[in-house]
Amino acid sequence: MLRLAFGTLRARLAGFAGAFLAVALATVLVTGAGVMLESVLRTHAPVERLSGTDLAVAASDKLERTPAMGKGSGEGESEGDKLQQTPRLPAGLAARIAAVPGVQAAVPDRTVPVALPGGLGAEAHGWDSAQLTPYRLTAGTAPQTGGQIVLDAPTAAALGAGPGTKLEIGTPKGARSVTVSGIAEGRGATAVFLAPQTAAELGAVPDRADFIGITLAPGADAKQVRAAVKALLADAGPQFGDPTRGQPKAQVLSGGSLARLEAPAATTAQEATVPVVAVFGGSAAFTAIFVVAGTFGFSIRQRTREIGLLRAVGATPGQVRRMIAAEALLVALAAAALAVPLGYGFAHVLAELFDKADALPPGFTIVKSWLPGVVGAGSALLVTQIAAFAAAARAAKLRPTEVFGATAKRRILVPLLRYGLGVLTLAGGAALLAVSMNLGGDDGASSSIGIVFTLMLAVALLGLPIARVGVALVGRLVNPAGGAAGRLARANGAAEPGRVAAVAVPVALTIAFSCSVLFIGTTVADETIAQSKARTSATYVVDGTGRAGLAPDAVDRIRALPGVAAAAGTVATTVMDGSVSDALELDARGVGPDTAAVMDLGVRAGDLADLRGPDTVALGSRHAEAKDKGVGDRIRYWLGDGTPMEARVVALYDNAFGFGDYLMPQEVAAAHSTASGYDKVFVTAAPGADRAALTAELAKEGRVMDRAAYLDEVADDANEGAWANAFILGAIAVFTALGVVNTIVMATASRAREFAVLRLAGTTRRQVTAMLRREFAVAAAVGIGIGTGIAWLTLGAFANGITGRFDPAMPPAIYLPLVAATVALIYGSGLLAARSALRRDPVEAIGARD
Amino acid sequence: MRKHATAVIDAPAGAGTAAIALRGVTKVYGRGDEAVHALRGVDLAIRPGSFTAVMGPSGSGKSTFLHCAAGLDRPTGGQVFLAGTDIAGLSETKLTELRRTRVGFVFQAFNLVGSLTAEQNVTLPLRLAGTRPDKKWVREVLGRVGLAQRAGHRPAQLSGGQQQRVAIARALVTRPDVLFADEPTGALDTKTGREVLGLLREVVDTFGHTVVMVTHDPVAASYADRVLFLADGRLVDTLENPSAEAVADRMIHMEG
Ligand SMILES: Nc1ncnc2c1ncn2[C@@H]1O[C@H](COP(=O)(O)OP(=O)(O)O)[C@@H](O)[C@H]1O
Ligand SMILES: [Mg+2]
Repeated sequence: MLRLAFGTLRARLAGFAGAFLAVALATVLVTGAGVMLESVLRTHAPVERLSGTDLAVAASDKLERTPAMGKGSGEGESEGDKLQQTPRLPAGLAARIAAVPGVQAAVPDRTVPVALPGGLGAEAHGWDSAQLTPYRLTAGTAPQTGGQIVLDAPTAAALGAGPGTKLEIGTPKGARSVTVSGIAEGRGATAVFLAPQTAAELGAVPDRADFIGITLAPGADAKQVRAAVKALLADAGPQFGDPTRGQPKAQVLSGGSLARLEAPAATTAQEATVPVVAVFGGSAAFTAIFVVAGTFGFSIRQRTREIGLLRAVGATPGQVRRMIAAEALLVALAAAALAVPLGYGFAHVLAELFDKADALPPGFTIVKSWLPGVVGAGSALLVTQIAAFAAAARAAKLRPTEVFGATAKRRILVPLLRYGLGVLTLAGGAALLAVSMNLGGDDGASSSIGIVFTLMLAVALLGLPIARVGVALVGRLVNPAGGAAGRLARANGAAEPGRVAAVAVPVALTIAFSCSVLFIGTTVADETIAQSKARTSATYVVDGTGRAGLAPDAVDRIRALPGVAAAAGTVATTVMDGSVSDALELDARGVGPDTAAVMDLGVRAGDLADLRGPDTVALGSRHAEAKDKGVGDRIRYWLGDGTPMEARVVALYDNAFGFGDYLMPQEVAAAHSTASGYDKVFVTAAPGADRAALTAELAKEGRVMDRAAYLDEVADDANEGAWANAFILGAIAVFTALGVVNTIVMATASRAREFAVLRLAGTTRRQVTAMLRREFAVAAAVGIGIGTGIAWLTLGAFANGITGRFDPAMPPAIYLPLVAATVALIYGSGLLAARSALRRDPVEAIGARD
Repeated sequence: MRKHATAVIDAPAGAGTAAIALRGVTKVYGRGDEAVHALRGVDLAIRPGSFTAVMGPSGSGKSTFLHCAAGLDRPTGGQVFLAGTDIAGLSETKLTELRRTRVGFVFQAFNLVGSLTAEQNVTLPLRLAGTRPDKKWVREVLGRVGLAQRAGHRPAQLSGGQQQRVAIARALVTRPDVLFADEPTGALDTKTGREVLGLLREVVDTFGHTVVMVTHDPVAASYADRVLFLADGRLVDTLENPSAEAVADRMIHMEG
């Protein structure tokens, strides 16, 4: 069979060129995505500050199921979702670890963001953490009291400071005056050191540490110590934790994995990139299936007679199927051989795209191993086999008598299995749509891509009947009666709905995919901008990010300024919701008192003033509705560091999008977030206040924006986010567009004989071209209609998830050029292919063997 | 005047003794108003080692008869015995396997796979059957059709007559019980057509093969031992040891 397949392949290179091209392109994309994925996964922020640390004990950064949460659907599952906020553990554990034989020191490490003079930011640690690098004093003495600080050498140089210099520093718990007691040298990011006790006090939770760093005594056996520490942890049990809050499982880390402790933000950024790359690779492979299936379908249709002959001289249906599969295998191998090396090169292009979209984690470098190549080649094989499967099923059903195809009437095969699958897939797509109706944000966005592909799969499976209906609906509009070309085009469309479907499916995919990707972004951005506008009633916004946050006392100072009617701070964090195995990460805010006075959250029930004490929460009304919770109800969720909570709902508010579905008191958020303090303070000016003076005063606390400037910044961020994703997935849209060109060129070129018959019967070239133009118009209309419909449904469901309104937004300013480009692509490639098919002498073309 | 078909043919006796046997075969294309009754009840047994021609006006069901008799298509009603086996009970795969060892075909055109050489086309049924072609036998078959020198040529490099010879060689290579040919000379000029007919006659006389050939050419039919006449889906007449004149005469009567 392989030999026969090889023979046909050689004889029909042109026919397989389309499939080859599509598989090769997909392989390039998948291999490139694979290299990206591996590189991202292998990106480790370098271990610098902790380079002198032998072992570290840290809380697990995965969500754990705790008895307090009751039975979740993830029972028996050991690992949950990655936590977005640093889980902390009891600092007292350090003393017990220090007692383990072989341990020289066990240091409860805390990172406290501090603001230095001149707009510099730094991480402060207790001086006991200095030995984890190690940092060594080059001048002066270690900090002993709350008023002393040790600077690293570059910082001291930047500030022109030396032992004895007095500094004003900002901390999450307020500003304080310190004196430089010494200068130290070590490695890593800018670091300053405070007295251990002071660092603990300034930490978000004084008796908890971010992790416990361990150094070993000279000559100690790391393995033994590790085992001993593990035993201690197992033995320590829950008494180290807060029994009401549950105790996260502790882990012992060493080597490269210390990076997650040293630079948690980099690790989070890295993990955020993974799904983007995965969606990219998956979309490429999926698109390839559509395009390749289309081209195989063509090659079968073109070879009906040859397959009939094979059947007549003794090929069983199984042998025909195997022959098609073998052809697919050869195409895949050839494509992979060419495309895998190119894919490694394409990774650099992808990295560039990700970089432009600001989606590369820090410390990223491209790593090339054999693995992505194998995955790329494997997906080429898989994609072609899946694509060949449908074509082979059709080919195997051909009867031996098809060899007389020219005279016998063509049997219409009704592929019941295919239609059955199509209807099932359609139902699956509808179910996904229904689920998506209630999903917001990122989850909604990623499920939307799934919906597009599911619905497209259904369209591809049901392509024939859809094309038939489409031709009937559109055909008359595009080809009004009269005119030979119009009549021919209509007859062709009705007789060969498969041809219309073959073109319409990739067109629909192109439109559905690009519209969904683009307009999900714009929908999110528009809603963020609209709700921010509705929310923001403050006159000024003071931004403290990059300045160690704004300490609670900063809010008090602002509130006391003349001309300030009200001021309240917020800090962004995350919570988790759902089950352990399937947790949903949601934006949340820690808020200070007085929030209601500085922003209009659209409170629909309860009172934000009741948001006091650790066990209170306010919910976005859409989320509350989905969870069926009202004011006074109790709700269970996880804080960002994995701490399970059970809180009383005190208020419901409407304007949650772009802000957060959970509001909690700032102290609660700070104790369970990597960031502490506030990141923004919203200020409402009193009527008649001296605005200039007020602005100047506010500027002492942080970056000041008036309402308009703040909203501009929100809009810029939102739009940038919208386009970043579209930019990356744009490469896939280009691929789907190539699929359109590929299909059209194949479909047109394969009709040379038919054109020759028409020409010999007296049809002019111009009439043939006019006929083709009308056929393309029908296929384009059907494809664009279906693609738009799918995008419309997907976007509607997505919009419903975030706003509660089935309100798909497809701005004509983007949509119409997109459609125009698609139409231009169809006509351009189709008419070019037709021109070359018509250039042959008809007498010669008609005699040509197929 | 028409007699019933069975009356003029050898008794459709045992599927066992005949190379091919049809019993009450009907074939209907389409349904309802559009139904076309291509065969309306055909009984027939073909003697081994004979050369039978099937004639009839265009649309009388000759090709349909051939397809059903050869197991290329399944009848709507009645039974077809291939090598003694009723094909109704066979799966598509089993039927194919039976056909590829017991039956050979030559069509009017499109007989060859364009990407394969003459020799590869000839050995195709053997390869499909998974048997290793016996080189000597393949040579001999190619020699019988006079193409020993052209084994390595592709169809595009062969004349129409040569292509039909390759097709005959391929039909013979499996040593089939019956060789079916549907207007094998229809696309050839007269001289080349005569050569192909001579070759068919020769494989019957010299090598003892059985040939059933559909044709509308009385001269072609005169090469056969016996001519069956089909009209409107029924066997209406037969002629033994026909001359071209006698056949033409019958045809004129039938059409007239
Ligand atoms: N696949 C088919 N579908 C429908 N009708 C057919 C088909 N094949 C043949 N017919 C019809 O059956 C009748 C007999 O055809 P055929 O056996 O080809 O006749 P002949 O070979 O004698 O010209 C004709 O009326 C023809 O139109
Ligand atoms: Mg015929």
